[in-house]
Amino acid sequence: MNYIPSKFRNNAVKALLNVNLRKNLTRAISHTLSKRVEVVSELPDWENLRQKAHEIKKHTIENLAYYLDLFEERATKNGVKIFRAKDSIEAKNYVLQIARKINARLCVKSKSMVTEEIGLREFLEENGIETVETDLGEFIVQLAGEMPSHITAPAMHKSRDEIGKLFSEKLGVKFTNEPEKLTNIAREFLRHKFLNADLGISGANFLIAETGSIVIVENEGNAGLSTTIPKVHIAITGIEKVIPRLSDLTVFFKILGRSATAQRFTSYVSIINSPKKNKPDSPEEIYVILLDNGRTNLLKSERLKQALYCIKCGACMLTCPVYQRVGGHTYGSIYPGPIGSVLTPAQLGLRDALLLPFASSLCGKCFEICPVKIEIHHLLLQLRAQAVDLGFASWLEKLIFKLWFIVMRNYKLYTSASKFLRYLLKLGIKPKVKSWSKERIFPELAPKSFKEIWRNQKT
Amino acid sequence: MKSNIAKIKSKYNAGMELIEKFKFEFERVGGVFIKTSHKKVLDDISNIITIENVNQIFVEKFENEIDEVLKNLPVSQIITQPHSVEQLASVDASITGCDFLIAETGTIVFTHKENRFKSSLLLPRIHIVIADTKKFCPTFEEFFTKIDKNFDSIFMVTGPSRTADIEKVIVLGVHGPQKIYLLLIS
Repeated sequence: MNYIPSKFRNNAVKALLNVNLRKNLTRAISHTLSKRVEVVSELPDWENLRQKAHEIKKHTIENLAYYLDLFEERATKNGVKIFRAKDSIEAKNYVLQIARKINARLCVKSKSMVTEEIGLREFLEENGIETVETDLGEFIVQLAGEMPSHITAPAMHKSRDEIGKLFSEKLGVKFTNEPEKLTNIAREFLRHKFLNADLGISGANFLIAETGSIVIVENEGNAGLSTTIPKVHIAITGIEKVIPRLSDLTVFFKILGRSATAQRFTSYVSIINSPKKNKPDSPEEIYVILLDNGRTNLLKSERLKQALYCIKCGACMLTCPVYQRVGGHTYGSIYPGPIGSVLTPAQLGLRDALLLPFASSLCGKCFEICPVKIEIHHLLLQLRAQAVDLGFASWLEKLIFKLWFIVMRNYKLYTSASKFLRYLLKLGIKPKVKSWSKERIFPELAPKSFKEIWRNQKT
Repeated sequence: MKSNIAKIKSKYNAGMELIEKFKFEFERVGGVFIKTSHKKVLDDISNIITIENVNQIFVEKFENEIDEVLKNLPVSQIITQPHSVEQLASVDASITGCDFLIAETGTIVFTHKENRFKSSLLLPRIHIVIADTKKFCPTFEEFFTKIDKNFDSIFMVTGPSRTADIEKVIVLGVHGPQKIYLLLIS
């Protein structure tokens, strides 16, 4: 499969025909969504929490420059070095520069979508630095040479048998399909890497402006180890991750785990302020890379900047009827699903991701589930309008909609058009639209229109 | 499943005592909660050592009478001053103190300080935490108002290390401890 956004249609057809993939997706998604209902319904003030989270994010994004400067000032005072990267090339080169300076040979990575976004692992490997994903799901997709299919459950498209086969092929262990044994194999393999790594790379879930803190939320303990054992820690994160106060975390603690993995709270939270002072085990140097990479493009649009409120929980993907059927790889973008279809055009430019805003039914379920209340369906609609401005729609489509527009605004035209359409169907003439009709049967129209029935009843 | 949710809610409404609320949440995420006393603590830990088959153990400095008590643990080696991370990775269990116990989520909070190895909270298979009743805090709201914001780093632990990356099956002890005990001295 060719994983680029412009191949969405082809990839979707292939994914829909892949019975195994659909089975794996359905299992993982239905499990998480049903558990989510349980842990969300426990909180009677869920709607309030969403609103609060929305407001904190809105306030921060409206004053982003101020909070980024404040974060930089406080973090620098704590002894953390800050670098602002305009794009992925700047970010990658900065990491490489640090790695070269400390003569790094082995780098352990904890889960971070931003590093996927800039292709950091591949870049470091090309430059001779062994780089290992330590989150179990990420480790699985790294071994398979794939990309994550969901932002918090990267290997959800794989079954235990597929993972067992992968481990026996790549790690030379005896085949097993038991999740417990497979996890243990990964633990042993990665433990060795942790103890020998010179560089630890992580993302960040939040940056706290008032204290200059890096906040990392996780379940396995790999982020805790990646940011503790190696001598140098680099956290790479998008500029939108900053929030004003430490106490703002109380809101996000309640919504993030519930939305991402249907947990009341994640197993581990690291809040890191400063490198080693008197602590016995801690990195001697900490760097934070604040990545733009197209995010400020979103800031320019009053509506689209909402996409920067995203806390990367992935709930919109799980609830999306399109994602549920085609899975994450089909989108051909690092961030799949509804929010991905807004973020990706901002990164690549709309021209290179033109199909993504159309990969949605606009049903609004993504908005209903979003813990920070991003109106994703409205954002997709706006991107569709922009796509049309770029010449995405064919002359025929434009003509059809122009006619439809005229007919819908004129009562007499509408009535006679609907009569004409019924007449055509009576003659057995059904409209054929090439890719649409191939998979669908044109629905029968009711013999009489609602208006006719209404009128007849009245008299 | 519905009845289960109702039960949890009614417990919230009943205004559970701090300790009970903590215990409920901590056990729900897979932690083992043991109420103990100064006299009983050695016996309780010795029991855990037998059940979990612990040979080597790391013991953090407590700077109080617990240090003396823990010298008598029935293990083949007690490490108090590890010379390397590798040594911490080789022990079967660690015993540490903690700084706060958050009741609303069953979370144990550790601040990183001079005699606390953050990797001792993660590397061994078994983690035993000793706390007293002064450590309780009802909510994160209160916790964030209480703490001195000039900390170096904070580590929050809610149950054992876990994953559900393979077919959503929950497996404990991925990179961190498989089991976590909380011994409350009262």
